[in-house]
Amino acid sequence: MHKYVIKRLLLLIPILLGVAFIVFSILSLTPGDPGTLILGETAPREAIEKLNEQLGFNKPFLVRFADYVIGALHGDFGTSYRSGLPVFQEIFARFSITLTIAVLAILTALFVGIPAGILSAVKQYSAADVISTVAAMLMAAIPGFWLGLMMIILFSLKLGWLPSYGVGSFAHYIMPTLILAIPCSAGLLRLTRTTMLETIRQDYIRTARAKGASETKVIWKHALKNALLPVITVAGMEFGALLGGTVIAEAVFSIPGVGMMLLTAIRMKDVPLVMASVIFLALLFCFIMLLIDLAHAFVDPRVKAMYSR
Amino acid sequence: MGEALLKIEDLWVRYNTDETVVYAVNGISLELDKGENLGLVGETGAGKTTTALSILRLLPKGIGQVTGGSILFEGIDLFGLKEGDMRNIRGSKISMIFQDPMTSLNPVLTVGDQISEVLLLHGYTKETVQNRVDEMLELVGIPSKRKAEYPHQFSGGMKQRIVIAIALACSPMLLIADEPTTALDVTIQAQVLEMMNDLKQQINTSMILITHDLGVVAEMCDKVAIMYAGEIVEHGTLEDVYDPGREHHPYTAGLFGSIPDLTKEEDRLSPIGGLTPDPADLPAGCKFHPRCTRCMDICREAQPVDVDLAGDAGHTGHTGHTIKCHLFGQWSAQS
Repeated sequence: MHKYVIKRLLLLIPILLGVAFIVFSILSLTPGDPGTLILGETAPREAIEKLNEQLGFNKPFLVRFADYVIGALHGDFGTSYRSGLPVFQEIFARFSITLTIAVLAILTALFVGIPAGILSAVKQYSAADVISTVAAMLMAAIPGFWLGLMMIILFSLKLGWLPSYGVGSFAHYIMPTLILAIPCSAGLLRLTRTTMLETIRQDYIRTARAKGASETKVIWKHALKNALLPVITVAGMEFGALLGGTVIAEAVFSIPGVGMMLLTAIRMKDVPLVMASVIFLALLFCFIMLLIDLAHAFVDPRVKAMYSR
Repeated sequence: MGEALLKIEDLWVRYNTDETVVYAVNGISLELDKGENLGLVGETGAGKTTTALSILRLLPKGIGQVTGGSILFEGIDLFGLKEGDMRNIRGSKISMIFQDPMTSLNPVLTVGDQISEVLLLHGYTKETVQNRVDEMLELVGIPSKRKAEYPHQFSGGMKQRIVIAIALACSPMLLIADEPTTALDVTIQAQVLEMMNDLKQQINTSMILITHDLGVVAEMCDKVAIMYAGEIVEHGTLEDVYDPGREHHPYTAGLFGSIPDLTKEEDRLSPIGGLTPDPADLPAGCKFHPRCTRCMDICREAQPVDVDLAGDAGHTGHTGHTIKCHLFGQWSAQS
């Protein structure tokens, strides 16, 4: 098991280098130079050229990439062209907000989606099943921005219960969390229902019933662990995607999160900020994937046996 | 003999699906005394497993439906019991061994946990349960130190032993073994059967052995019921059914006829022609008539009834040798 974790951590090196290279290439292939971006279009030509020279922009592409990697390995990811601040200072300020929303959203989705999915599978074709299925379809189909705007109209304008923009108190996080959690929980509900239905038709469930176990015990002790494996994977990936920023929620509620920051940085061609953000998010995503795999091993001894080989 | 341990009377079961209604069990009656072994023989789809699941009331919910008849266990009507009372019987008084050991054990629980679960459900305490788990494992020939392992770490034969250990852990009065050896290879089959027989004798359990292997039945059973299309076409003691000198249902005769005779040189096997009827669309009259070599006009129209050949002297009713066939209705009417 330790061996497996170490192997996976070592794999991070080529993955991150690859990600860095691809993003660096794309940014290099697009027009624009840092001197103009920092000093502005109207700055004197010489000043721009001088700054480009200073930043190493005139060196060949591969040399620039090597310089960037070496700098990064020393912990120097550069400063944002726009704000002049070290990139990670900017990223972390934004990321704490995104992380809060992502955690709240995925927890909400799990707490709603999984129990509803189980209920809907155990009581297949019942009213509860039909209602949750229809609700899930609806939730998955409603666009987040529309839902967000409707919620603002209702809860902020009409009722005045919740603030409509920005971050600060817990109340600020409720609506953004909800519009992210709703489609996510709909997906988890459908998935849990499907895997649960498949699991409760397995022979070992019949064995458990033949032992005289109660239906509750059959579901919670025998079926759930088996049914949750694919759910863990999907929930983990959803969480990873949420961490990558949630542009729509951030835009609707004017939240200074990672998504909007990255979007602006790309538009402004703020190379150091884009690079650092993408690498950071890739690293996080890899960690989440590793955690999913470890969770699988924890739940399923067959997977664990495979890893310790 | 007193009260029979298990008495199935005129049991009818069907499966309702969206498209069709499948008539799986059509009016079967059986009796089993304490310590007796009954072999339930038939082709795939004859309704053997459905009968077994009906006894445990584990027919698939919403699909399987008992439409008639009763099952008395120790004189108690199982269909009249509350679900909670039925659960107390499952696993402790009646237990079942399922066909495929590969899929019958939960892959994410240790085998020790799976054995102790049935014990904890039926009266054992946390302190005493581990001793019993060890005892059961050793009894089926698995070192008790392996109880912390998971099913995937065992071979197929060992998994079936674990399934047997679970089924016998509470010393049930009735054991239903649904093709316990079909998924195992032949050498392991013999071992498992022998072990089941030994264990069964130790705790004096009655058994219903579901199989399509006539050899296994001869080895293990006192009584035999031959099932075809949800009906028992022939029922009697092992001697009644296996004695080629006695009268048999054409289906039984066909089954035995399809076993190759090692003493004669035969080029081909002699199977029963045709296929088992679709249980959603059973033929009128005798359900076997389309395949029967001795089919008469009446067979196409009228359902045959059980005819008691009064096989072994002193036996009456279902304990005698009965055949559901017009050949013998005529025959007995004439005589």
